[in-house]
Amino acid sequence: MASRDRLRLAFFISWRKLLASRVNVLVGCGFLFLLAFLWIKDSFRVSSGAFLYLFPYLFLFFSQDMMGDEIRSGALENVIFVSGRFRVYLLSKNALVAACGLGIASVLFSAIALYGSLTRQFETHSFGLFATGILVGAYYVALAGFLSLFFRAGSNVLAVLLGQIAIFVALLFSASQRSGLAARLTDASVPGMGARLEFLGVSLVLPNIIIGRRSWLNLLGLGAMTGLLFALQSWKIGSLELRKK
Amino acid sequence: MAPLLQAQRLCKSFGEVEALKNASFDVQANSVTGFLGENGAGKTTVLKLLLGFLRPDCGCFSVGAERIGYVPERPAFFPWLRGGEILEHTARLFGISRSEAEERTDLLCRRLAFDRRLLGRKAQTYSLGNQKKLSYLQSLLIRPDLLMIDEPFSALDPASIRSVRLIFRGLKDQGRTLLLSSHLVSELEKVCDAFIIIRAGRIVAQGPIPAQPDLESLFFYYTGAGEYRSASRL
Repeated sequence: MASRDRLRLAFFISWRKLLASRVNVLVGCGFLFLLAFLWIKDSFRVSSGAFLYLFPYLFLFFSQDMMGDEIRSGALENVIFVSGRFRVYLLSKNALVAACGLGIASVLFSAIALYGSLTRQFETHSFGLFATGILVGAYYVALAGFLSLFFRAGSNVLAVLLGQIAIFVALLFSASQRSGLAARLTDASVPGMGARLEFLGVSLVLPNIIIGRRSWLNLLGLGAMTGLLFALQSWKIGSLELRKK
Repeated sequence: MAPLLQAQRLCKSFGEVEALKNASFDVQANSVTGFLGENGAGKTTVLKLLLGFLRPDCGCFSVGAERIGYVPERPAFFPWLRGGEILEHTARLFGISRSEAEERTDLLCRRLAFDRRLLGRKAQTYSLGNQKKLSYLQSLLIRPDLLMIDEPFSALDPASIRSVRLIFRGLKDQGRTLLLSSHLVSELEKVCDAFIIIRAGRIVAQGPIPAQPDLESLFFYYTGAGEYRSASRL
């Protein structure tokens, strides 16, 4: 049994699951509709900017119910997953979901870059924003994947979104304060290590803000957290057993 | 001849419950072994340990088979996959060519009286009996060296039970090894040539099926013949 065939099977199962999910189809269509709307009502520049800041959410939504329900359903107690192969399958899901997100985001980005280049509206720094967005997407996959080991159905994604709503509300409340959270986060100079770490802390819940505020500390921090979440998943899956349904 | 499957002092607990206590047993190659026990005796736990779905707390086991087939008591499938896709990818995973897979699927569908048109539908929409048959199809498609089946006759109609029994005999004739876990002693007696009896997580008897007494009597003897006798008096 070649590992290439195992990966192909895992990809097939994951891809079909993504397509079978109405939420994913709705989110994908809604995202395209939003970009088209911004383009028509405003400009290509605003639409491409929205794409670069929001496309990591595709990775997040693709990660909904990544593992939990599959583990509990009994579907892994199958001849194709004997001898512990279900663990390899579950671990490879991170890469496969990320690959699906990356594939779709790359197609959209290529289209935007091509049109932008032809009409001389494309800015080269968009490549940097896109690369950062991919890191944010990978972080979302690692985070949502880890949460899916504990949460049922799509509540892993819901938990992330609720955390972001809480951050957003905190930002709104602090917007009027001179040294509030919003002021500290939007201060271009970001004084002191404390403020930098605060920014990093917020970005672990709302990582999209890193796209507009790239720094080595932020990128390394997010990369390290992604690695840590993958390591935690590996540890948890390594000791996973398929008990009663 | 060395056993194909050997387990030594396997233990497994689920919280406070000791499901398996120092279970040691052998399964000989080219045998049909009945793994017998009452409900909750630990049969499924043993199978899941041998298949790698659970990890033993202590003890060890060795399986000398390259291809292991498995039919669970209540098979579950990914709800978004069709039966045909499941079989197609199982075959590919085990290096079976498309034409051979088609041929074998056809043959097995006929043997199991499984309506081939169902393969175009999502497996989760099948009746329990047809899900069981799909699980049989999947495992038989790969030509397993060792086939483990949890409650082989559950959810099947009498005609299918008969077909499955014939398939077991055919597999034995081909030199394959079967481990059948069940509490339906009378059905196992018709196909098995060896037995293992488990009671409350302990292996209490094992060996070839003797001519006398019959397997049912052995089962009741080792799993609580006293209770059986008092029940029969009621």
